[in-house]
Amino acid sequence: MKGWVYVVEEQRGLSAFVTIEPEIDRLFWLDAEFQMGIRTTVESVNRIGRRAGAIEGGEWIRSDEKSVGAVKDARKAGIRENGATGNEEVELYGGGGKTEANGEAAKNGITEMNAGQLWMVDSPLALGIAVRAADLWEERFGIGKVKAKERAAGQSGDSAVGKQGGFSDAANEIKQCVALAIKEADAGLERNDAAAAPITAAAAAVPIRHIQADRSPRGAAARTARRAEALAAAALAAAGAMQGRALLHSEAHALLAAAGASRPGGASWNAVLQLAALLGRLRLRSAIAVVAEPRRWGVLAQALGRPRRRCRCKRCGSGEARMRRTPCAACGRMCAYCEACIGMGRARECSLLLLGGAAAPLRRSSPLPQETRLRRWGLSPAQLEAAGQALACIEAPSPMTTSSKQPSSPLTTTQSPFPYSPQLLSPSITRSPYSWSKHPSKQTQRVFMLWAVTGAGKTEMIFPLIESVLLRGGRALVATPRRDVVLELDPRIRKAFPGAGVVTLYGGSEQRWEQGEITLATTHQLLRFEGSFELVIIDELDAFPFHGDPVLHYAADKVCALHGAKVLLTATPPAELRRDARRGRLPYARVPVRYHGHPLPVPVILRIPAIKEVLHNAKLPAKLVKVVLQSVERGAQLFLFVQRIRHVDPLVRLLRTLHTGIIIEGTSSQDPQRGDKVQRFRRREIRLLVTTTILERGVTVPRSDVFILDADEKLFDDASLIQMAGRAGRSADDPHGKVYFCSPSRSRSQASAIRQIMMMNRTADKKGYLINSRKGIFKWRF
Amino acid sequence: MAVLEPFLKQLKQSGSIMFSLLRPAYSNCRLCGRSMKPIVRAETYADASYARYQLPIIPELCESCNRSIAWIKDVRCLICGRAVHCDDCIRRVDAGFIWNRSAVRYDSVMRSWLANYKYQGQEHLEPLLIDMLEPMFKQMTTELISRLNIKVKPRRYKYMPDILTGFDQMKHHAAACWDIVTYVPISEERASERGFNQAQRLAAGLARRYGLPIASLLLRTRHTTRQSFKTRLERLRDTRMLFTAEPAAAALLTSIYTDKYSHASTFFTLEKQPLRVLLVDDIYTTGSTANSCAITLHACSGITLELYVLTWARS
Repeated sequence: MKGWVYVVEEQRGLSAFVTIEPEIDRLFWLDAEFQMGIRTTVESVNRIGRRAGAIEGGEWIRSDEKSVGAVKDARKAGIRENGATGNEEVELYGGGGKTEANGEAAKNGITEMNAGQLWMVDSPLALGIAVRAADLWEERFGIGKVKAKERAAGQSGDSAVGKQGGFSDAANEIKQCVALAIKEADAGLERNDAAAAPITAAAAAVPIRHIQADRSPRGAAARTARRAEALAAAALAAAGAMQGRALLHSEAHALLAAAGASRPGGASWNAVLQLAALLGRLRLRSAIAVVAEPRRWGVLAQALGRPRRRCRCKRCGSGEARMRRTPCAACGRMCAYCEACIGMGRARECSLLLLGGAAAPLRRSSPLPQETRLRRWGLSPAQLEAAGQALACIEAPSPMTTSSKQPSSPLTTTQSPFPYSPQLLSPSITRSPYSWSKHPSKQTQRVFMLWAVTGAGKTEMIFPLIESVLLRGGRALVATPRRDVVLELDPRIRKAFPGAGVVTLYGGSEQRWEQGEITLATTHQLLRFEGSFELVIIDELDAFPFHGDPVLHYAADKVCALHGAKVLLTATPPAELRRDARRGRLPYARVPVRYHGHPLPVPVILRIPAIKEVLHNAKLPAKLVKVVLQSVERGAQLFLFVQRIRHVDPLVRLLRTLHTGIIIEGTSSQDPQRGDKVQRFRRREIRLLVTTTILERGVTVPRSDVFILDADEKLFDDASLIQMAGRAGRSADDPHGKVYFCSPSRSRSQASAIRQIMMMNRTADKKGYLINSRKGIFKWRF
Repeated sequence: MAVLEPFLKQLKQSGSIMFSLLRPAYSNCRLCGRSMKPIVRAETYADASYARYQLPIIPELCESCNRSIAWIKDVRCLICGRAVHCDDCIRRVDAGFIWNRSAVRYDSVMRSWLANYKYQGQEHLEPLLIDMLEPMFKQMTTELISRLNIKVKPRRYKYMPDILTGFDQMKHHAAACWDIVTYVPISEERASERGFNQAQRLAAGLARRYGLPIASLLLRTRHTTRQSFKTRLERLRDTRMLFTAEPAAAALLTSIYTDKYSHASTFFTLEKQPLRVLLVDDIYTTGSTANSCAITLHACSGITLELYVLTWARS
């Protein structure tokens, strides 16, 4: 897609903007009637918003009208129109004086609209280049960069304000910036002569149009004002529907259509979106941004090294390595796209990314004390303690709210809806998969790890945390790596919070474009949000695909509001997080016992030959047969985990030769009937299920025993061994399930798994969480 | 221990680098990303019986991906290139093209591959699709040369035996066989939405490999909704008058035609043959798009054309 870049003369100086609908910008800045219309709408919305804000009180359900009105009202007071600039946040926090100077207008959310003139590029540019040019302009010539005096001097030298005066520099400046942006873009391509050409020549070729203020024709004045009113109302509604989102252009259209947003007078969606951007509610960026090349040190290196363009995907944070450049028919250039997040729609350099602004800050106080709120959920003592710690952590004042930078005026106490300025975002992804600390939001977000054993009742423990955020008027997100878990969680959350709007998001979800207080989502869906949740709960953070995917880690950091909190749930934290926790870098709470108060079953090692050999000899080892038959007699459900899909069917055939009289089935990721087989296994129709690691987590089958074959092979690390062992003894009526590690040799991961399980049991014993504790029974058996 | 940690890490890393030097060269399958041995002969597959079908092997794909390609081995309908018996072509009276040939059957796997490329925009699949188009292109060229009895002048190398094998020979054959390659256009809206024209990319890839001239000869007059949602009758109705010739098309064809016969010596009067045009598209369903293009091309200049259609998939 293409965009126009322009410089506009406001009261306080010049600013550069990018537009996708230049006509709207012309009217917005230069047409007095249009401005009047917008002012009317914004004022009336503010008035409604204030009233709604007053009513709101202690009630914690946030309705849609309020989120359009009250929340926005508070937020936008101090914010200048549009966010195409990078350094506006700094100004916002640094200078409260700016808004005061603008007096009455600032209170209405519209600061200086009466611009005198603007200089716009006459032909559209590729959007990436337009955005980059505007950024470059702000970097070099923005407010505070060039002294106002210099400009004023230029202006007074030639009193005929305009073409030859100081302000006509703006035309030259924007020409230069466009040429520079194009040069930067070309430099990233293969050896290109265009990159070597001096930019002055290229700059001269950029056509610029100078537009001055004029009034609508006399008869049309009233019509223009009415049109502006309707358009502004539509823009505000659209911005409300898109709050907290990070959407591509086509996704935004789909959302607005689904939300039933109006387009008054046949205006295009682009016009509505552009006006919302001008009103400061949306931010228009290119989906892939050019990151400024860090300065090479050394003259020689500078002379030899070709300038290179570094791209970064604004949606998933991927860097140059995941970019692919292809000729693009939409912008007519070699244009990069991001391969990392292509499954969620293609983000191109010339495609538009709409950022809907972050969530409003939370109310500080909750009406009820923590203990009362915790007690509501009927948690076990161990759960209660851990949940209490987590609650204390997320309700602690954020470093952000206590910072001295906060302006004091009641009208400006809100923070910017766009906390992720481009400068902050650039160095976000590093090579480490656990780059929590590298993200800029890390400085203000709080992270808490809830380390709870398998079957501890993690879901119940997150209820008080969600409630806390809802009480303070925030939004909560529960992200899990798997779709099945989302679907399973959905009814439980709805039951626990009947009054709250729950949105369930996964690939192909019906609720894709809805907003609610509680969002349940698969981790990939997080890419479509930005800064919108005060509480982000990540379930099973060590599971595929979340584990080891930097894109999803980036997404989890990004969706959490700057003043928000992130809670990590896991039974088997990866080594990095364990180390961080041990060293006190990561606050955490451990739940060492299951909800029923019985210890975890400790795995028993069974020395049998490798499964390959067993299948080759077509004879099951006597030891294995013995324990399998014992479990069958006990009336248990048997899980048999194997490593390879190709072992499943032969093993099923071999087991059937035992003639135990039970139904034996096998399943794997390539089995089309696997959902059905798992259901039958749960209903006890199938008694023995041979499976690969697909059933490693998230499956609760009462009265089950677990056999892990080839437990010494490297595909089973300690985390997955613990998870598989955690399938046994989950229900209160049969807490002592059996777990066997069957392997020809003892491996380090087996030893580690057993050690960790026993450690948890001992901790539980020590803390007195076990139901019938006999001190000292958990000795090392290794 | 904490002091030693970085050193140990370094040691571990350098160790794994050394180890990787000893390993055989594995690559990743371009499609499924699984690591695989680069295999170019079906005889070395785990399931060696695959070799008996004598199907082409795409070296960048792993065994299971290669086996899931639905190659069209036997062309049953000589007009539309279908692998099964075809009633459509008997009904057809006004075919503007002579044949269509397609590389693969459009089954669910092929559909998903094309969708990934075309709708999701995974442009890294492009060389793969061109690779898959190539065997059929070769087969088509060889067939045409033997049928039309085209003389291929072998180029003589001074110090080399007068035998050209493999790719070089194919290049000469292709150059002798095809006068120009063109493709089915897409509308401007579609182009800006999708970012590329898949037919153009396929045609350009093929033309580049064989050194053939390529030109855009057609324009789409109106923006239609996606063909894949329509029935046969709707498509036939919808594609009528859908294309016009590019303004420069007639001049271009004429110049190619005159160029071709300008070198004819006075001694041998070359028999003037019509221009052979290869029209490339991604998918052939009813042939209405190809037919409409062909009719437009025939009408745009006075030169007689022979149009052959090459598509990636036949549904």
